[in-house]
Amino acid sequence: MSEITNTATEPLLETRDLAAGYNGVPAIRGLTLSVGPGEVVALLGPNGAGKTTSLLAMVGLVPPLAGEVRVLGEPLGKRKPHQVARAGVLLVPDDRGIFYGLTVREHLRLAGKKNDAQREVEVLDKFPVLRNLDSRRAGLMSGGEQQMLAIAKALLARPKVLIIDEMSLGLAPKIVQEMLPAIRELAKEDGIGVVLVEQHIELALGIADRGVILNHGQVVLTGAASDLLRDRHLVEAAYFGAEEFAADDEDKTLAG
Amino acid sequence: MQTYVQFAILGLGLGAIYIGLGTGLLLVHRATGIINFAQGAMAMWGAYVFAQLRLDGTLTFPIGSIDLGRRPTVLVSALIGLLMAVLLGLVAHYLVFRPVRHAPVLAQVVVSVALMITIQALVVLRFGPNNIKVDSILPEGTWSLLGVEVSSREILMALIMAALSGVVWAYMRFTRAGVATRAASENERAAVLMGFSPDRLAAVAQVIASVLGTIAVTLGSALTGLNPENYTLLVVPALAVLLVARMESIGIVVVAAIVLGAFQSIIGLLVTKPWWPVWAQSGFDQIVPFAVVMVILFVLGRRLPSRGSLQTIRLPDVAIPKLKLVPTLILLAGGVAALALTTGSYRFGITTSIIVMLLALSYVVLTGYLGQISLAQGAFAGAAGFTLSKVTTGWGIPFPLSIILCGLVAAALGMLVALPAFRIRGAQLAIVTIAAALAIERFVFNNYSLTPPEGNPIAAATLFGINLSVREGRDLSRLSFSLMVLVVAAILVFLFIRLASGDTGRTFLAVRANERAAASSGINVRMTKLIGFGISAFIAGIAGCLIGLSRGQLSAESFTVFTGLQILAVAYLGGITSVGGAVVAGILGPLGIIYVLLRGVFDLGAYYPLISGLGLIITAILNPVGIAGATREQVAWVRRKLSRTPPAEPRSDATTATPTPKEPSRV
Amino acid sequence: MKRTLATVACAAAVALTAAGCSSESGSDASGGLSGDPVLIGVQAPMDGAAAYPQTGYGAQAAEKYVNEKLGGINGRPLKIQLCAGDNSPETAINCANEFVTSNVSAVFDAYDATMGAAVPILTSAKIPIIGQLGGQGIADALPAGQAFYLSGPLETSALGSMTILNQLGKKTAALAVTETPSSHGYVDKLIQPIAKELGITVSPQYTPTTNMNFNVMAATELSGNPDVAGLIALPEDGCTGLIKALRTQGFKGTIFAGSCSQFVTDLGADAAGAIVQPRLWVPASKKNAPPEVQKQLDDFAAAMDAIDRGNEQSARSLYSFAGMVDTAKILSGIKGEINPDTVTTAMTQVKDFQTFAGPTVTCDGKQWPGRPSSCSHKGIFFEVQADGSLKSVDPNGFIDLDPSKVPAAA
Repeated sequence: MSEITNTATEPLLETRDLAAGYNGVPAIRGLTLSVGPGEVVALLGPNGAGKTTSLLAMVGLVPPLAGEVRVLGEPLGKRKPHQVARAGVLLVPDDRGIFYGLTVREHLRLAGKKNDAQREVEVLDKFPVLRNLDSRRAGLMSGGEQQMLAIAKALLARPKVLIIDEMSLGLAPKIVQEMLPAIRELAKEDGIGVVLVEQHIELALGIADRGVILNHGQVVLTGAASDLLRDRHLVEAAYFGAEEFAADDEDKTLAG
Repeated sequence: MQTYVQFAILGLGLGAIYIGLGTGLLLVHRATGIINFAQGAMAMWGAYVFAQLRLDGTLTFPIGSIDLGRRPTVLVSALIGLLMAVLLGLVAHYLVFRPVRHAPVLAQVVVSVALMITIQALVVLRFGPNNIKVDSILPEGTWSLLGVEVSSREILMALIMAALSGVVWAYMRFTRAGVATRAASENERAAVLMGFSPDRLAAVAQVIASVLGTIAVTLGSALTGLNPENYTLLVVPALAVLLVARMESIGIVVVAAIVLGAFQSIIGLLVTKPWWPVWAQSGFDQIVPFAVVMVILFVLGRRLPSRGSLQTIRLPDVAIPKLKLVPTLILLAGGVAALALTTGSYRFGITTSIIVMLLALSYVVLTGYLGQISLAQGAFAGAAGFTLSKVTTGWGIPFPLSIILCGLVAAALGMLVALPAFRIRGAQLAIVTIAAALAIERFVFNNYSLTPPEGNPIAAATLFGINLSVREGRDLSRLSFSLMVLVVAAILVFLFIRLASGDTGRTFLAVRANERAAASSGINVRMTKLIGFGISAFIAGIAGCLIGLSRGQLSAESFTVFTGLQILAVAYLGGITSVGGAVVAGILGPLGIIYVLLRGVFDLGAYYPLISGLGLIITAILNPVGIAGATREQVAWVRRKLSRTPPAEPRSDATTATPTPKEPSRV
Repeated sequence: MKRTLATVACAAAVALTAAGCSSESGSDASGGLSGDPVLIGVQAPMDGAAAYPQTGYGAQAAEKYVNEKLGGINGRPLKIQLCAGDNSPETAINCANEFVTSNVSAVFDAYDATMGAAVPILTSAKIPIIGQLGGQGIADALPAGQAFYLSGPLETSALGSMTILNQLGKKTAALAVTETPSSHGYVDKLIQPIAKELGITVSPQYTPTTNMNFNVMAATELSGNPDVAGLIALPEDGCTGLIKALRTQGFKGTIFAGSCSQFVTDLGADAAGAIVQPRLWVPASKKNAPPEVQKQLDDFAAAMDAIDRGNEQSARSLYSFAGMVDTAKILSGIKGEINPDTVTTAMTQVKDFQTFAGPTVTCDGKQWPGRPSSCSHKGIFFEVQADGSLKSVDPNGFIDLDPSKVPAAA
């Protein structure tokens, strides 16, 4: 497994002091994070923390109220979400973003670029189950199969940034345990920047490089994944007793 | 037997048109979730351009025309016609449908109805209202089919349109864009996240639909000549075909279209038979699509696909009306003054405006408050008007009782239409109501047995010896009649305000906002809908009676589908959620005071449908609260500035106009 | 984006309206005459689906002709107020209101099927209705002195058509007519009883005005193998389409074409043998018409050319033209003021008046029992010749009809 290091230190995706929300009321404030090539960032936090809003803002589905989002060094600007997707920033949303009436083959056809048969082979090698389900309608597949399809079609498009929202929702832990490492592998191979939103703290930090914990719409804790795993109590505090952290305007980072 | 086969084949001409329109409707619905009531009108524009080129070599645009000198060949003319169809599809998408893609269903229905009115008005202005001859592209001839001599032209038409539908089917199945369109129709956000632009897919779909429809009408109109009214309304049976196909299957569209065309043709033969009942002779072929629509929606209603789209605009908010004494008195005094100080056509125009205001009020009740879409208010008004004719001349029932009775007849009809509303809503309800309105217009109002050829005279009203007739001698618009209208209108508005500000009003609003939530908080949704339709139809019925009294005479043309749609247009334009909106609608409405002014002073009467259609498109897109709502907002803004209070925090109660869009599920 | 949309739409509306404004304004038809114009309202069905715009053109041609060639009405210019009907009673009512407001001296019914709606307004204002022929059964059923139809009431067409078919020995007829409540009344109350009296079986075929499928109509008519196929009344292009379809489907029998005329020029040889029943000597009959009629038809052609409508010389334009010219001549006999009362009196005094390209008429209210508005009980019929001209079936031209065959007027 070779790790691709980007010679330029430009992050693939970064947010600077991003605030976003609905109807003029911000759901997240002051979000600053970045994802580099081959990096896996876990975005964590309790319900209502603003994780999904952050993801939607990153792909342009929710317009920023303050701050900015930069993709591949360029600000997002007025780009429409579908243009963001074409630029290589792909979001797999919490509803999996698949089409129940379409077959697997049709999904892959929509996702793949022209004349890129090689890529399809690569991706299906990672998710061989899908090969047998070629003409099955997505609506008739199990949750795990659907999630695999969602990820596979995203990878098929050779994304530069892959953002996954709540992949483990509704899936048996065993399946999640198999899929996450596969994603990490592909990310490292291709130099994709990955942002994972997860409820399963252990699983997520297990394959991530860094972790960012949101609460009440703000970042309350960041650090290397290994450190966060080691200092569990801080993570718990970030989740539950977060008022003391929220009152503090500085991000808490862990040294070491 | 032979004749039946021949007639079935002749019906394929109509069937071919249904194939074209139905496939286009399906494609546009898949791509945008919108049901395009203007499909027939859009399809006929290109055909008209073709016909005019072949007639005298003039290439006609919406504004201006070019004389090409000599008549182009059939092929060139047809290609130019198709080019126009492409342009029309693009214009319709970018200027009309794209802005309302995320708007509530009401706005979408209204916009496509407005487009229908506008294109039809434009056709009348540019090409004339009469039938024009259309060159036949296909050769005439006969083939021998199972030993019967049948017309080959119709068969060819149907085959061509079926083949083209097949091409569309292949587009949806096998091309990337087509598959993406199907995907986006199911889950638009997911398609966006995969890099597809639903807007662009919708534009492609709109153009394909426009071209397909134009080909169908260009071929089919060679059989009958082109005529603005007929082809605009062919969208209604095409909608029936669409529903039979469950809005999904092109194959079923083709089959259903052919069957419907053949069936209508055979009905046309049967009604000439001596054993066919006289009362069922006119308009029976329009009953068929309506019956089909009703049956399908009843049986399949819940299982018809509705599109999951990102809805970001909401219906305009309703301001609960309050009865304020001083403004009311001022308004009434103003009305009396306006009536007293004018004479002749102008007074007649003001009187008609008051009556149109009542019709618009019926829309306010049904659509603004209850959130149901009905395109059949004209039919309710007509039913009451025609009943009034029978009741006053035949039975001699005296004045206020007569119109109340007829209003109740309309209410009963309205409650009948409420029955499908139990199970269906939104655009599907709009389809049912327009099919019902068309069937009622053709089969009931035009029915020779019910409406005698001398017309339907309506005896003048008298009350306690006061003569309330509308005219006498050279006085075209008597003051006592107009005052009577004003009094009736005031009573109805008063009753409406009492209703709207009470429990019933709030129940209506709850049902409008969310039926399921309303049901779970103990509201009997069915009963509420029944009451809503009943009250709305009653008001429309009273208006219909007043129309009858103001004319002295009624005919089927008084209450056509188009009249009903025009009233909807001005009702929406004025503001569908308030009495003020209804008043504005009355002022702007057909045969009202603005209309009379246009006709009399500027001689622009023929432009009225065009201007009102365009106005409606603009309002539906820009300003769902209508003119009255906009005025209210302006007044509120001014008031705020004047009172110099600090700007209020954004609140989410009913009195502000800021909508709260649905938030995605947050984690 | 929305603002752009708004500006585009407003600009479009303004442009469209402006384009319409610059359309034709009335040209001067007063023939250089001075003096108070005599204002006559004209109700002509020029718009809508069952429109016959030629009815209006004829009146316009007559206005110019009367003023330029006949010296007006006693030196005063004739001025028509042309109101375009669109097959809806509402418009007829609007028109009638406008006529009353403008103080017209009379209203000319240019064969408008919605005239009935205007009747209450006009009779209430005591304005006389004058017409060539009535098309709705309401105005021509008015009591004496309120309406004057020069060539006879609605019943003339019914009685005439059945009379000629009877004379030709036909027993069965399948005839098309536009689908309106008034046409149902016409067929059920007039055609069928008269046909029964004369021993003819008539199968009517109703077709909606907006959707005439000629192949279907022809096939339906021929499905019963009738002696005579054709129509009672259809718009001109409906006529042409139906007759063409009948011939295409192989019908060789007699075609009855009501009062249509354009099919003769359009269909050439296929039209030969058809019977038409207009009210006057129509332009196509010129070749075989008496010399004084030929001169009148030449005048008519010239008058239509003068208003650039030379190619609209159908029967209906002639009806309006002739009716207006006759009216102007009759009104010229009025000494003194011309107003609704004097016009009414003048009309009732018309006796043995030779109408333009038509019969001699007398408007004493006794020409047709039960129909005091009628000024004549004559009819004329033509057969289309191989060369496309019309020849009168009866060598005398107009023949007397027998109103006793008509069921007693209601």
